[in-house]
Amino acid sequence: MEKPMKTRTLSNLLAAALLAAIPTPARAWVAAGGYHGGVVAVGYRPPCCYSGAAVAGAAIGGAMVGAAVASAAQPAYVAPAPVYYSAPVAYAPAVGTVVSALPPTGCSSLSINGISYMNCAGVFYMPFYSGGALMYQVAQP
Amino acid sequence: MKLSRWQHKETAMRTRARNRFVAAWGALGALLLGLDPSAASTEAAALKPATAPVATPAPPPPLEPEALAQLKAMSDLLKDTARFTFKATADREQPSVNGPMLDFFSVSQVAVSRPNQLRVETKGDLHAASLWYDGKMVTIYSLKSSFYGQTAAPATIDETVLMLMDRFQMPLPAAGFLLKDPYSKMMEGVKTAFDAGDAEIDGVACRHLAFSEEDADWQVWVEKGAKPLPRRIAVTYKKIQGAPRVVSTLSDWNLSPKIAAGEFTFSPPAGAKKVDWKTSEK
Repeated sequence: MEKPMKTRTLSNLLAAALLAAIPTPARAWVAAGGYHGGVVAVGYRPPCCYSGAAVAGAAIGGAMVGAAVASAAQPAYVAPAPVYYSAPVAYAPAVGTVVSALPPTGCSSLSINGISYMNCAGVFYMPFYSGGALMYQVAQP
Repeated sequence: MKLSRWQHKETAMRTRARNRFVAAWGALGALLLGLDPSAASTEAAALKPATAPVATPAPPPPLEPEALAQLKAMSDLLKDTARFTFKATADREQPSVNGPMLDFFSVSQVAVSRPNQLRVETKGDLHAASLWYDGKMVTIYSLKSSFYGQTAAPATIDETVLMLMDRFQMPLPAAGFLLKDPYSKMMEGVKTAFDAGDAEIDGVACRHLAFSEEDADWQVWVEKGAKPLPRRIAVTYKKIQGAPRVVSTLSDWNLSPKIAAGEFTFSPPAGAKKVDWKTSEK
């Protein structure tokens, strides 16, 4: 580990870190929620405009898009324009989906077999750090 | 004294540049007017022998000594400072999957205590996690959460910073200034260097230095005078789609800060839990 570090220039290291942080379609959280971290971009950067229930719905809807949701009953999401929902719609994102923010309300933490999770309306997210930021991956504990 | 030597060189450079400028425009004006360039103006004539053809100025050396000397002076100042703090305001461009470039802003408070303590507290849209390095462990913690990541750290700031960028893929645009010899690491791979002239950042007079490498072009603004501090760094990643730029403005420099004992050691807040910190190998 020592040796390759010394042979890389600073710019090279920074470029790699920047590239790692560049969202790609393969990283579902990008498509899912926008670049501010999954849900955040979906619509609750202040100042904004809707009730808590609608926010939660928007958040969940936003987080879901990368997880291949197709049903007409599910909210459509067009990144990066905010899409607001009149009522919360809850459904489970695919296991493995990575988001960089959780719905703002309705989450509680728990520990299963020594691993921390956040439980948001029945969806379990496993927190981890990557590329200098906290992310969450949908998990089946 | 270094500074006066620079100032002298700087003056000489400017005079040369002005002479070239005057000579070139004198000749051009003469051509446009259909005159014999050698008789165009007394000023141009005074600078060049009337019979000599207008000489093409020699190309500047790929690594301009003035630019290197100023980067070195900046480096030497930081190298000789045992403890310092500064604020870094960064703007990172990242191409989005939709095409347009997006900018993400963050503000970091940085504290360095050589050789083995570092603290970075970052607030921002995307990279809002703080770092503690106490010579033994390095910890990352998002203040908005109750989760932290932690790993055993190498013995020095240099090794730790490079490890964070390499294995943990943390984008630290001001990383070079934290190292024990910024000059030698920053100059690795540099192909050209030149002094782009005077600039002012937040009211501070600076010299604007430009460097290029194969994968990136970068610029550093170094304060003029007795304290040649880095005031801004801008990096353009030429090989990444859209050539994104990362600009970090450095302010609030304190070269003799009072740093509380324990500032560099992370103490988990009540209820905080340790989680995985992914590396590039995973």
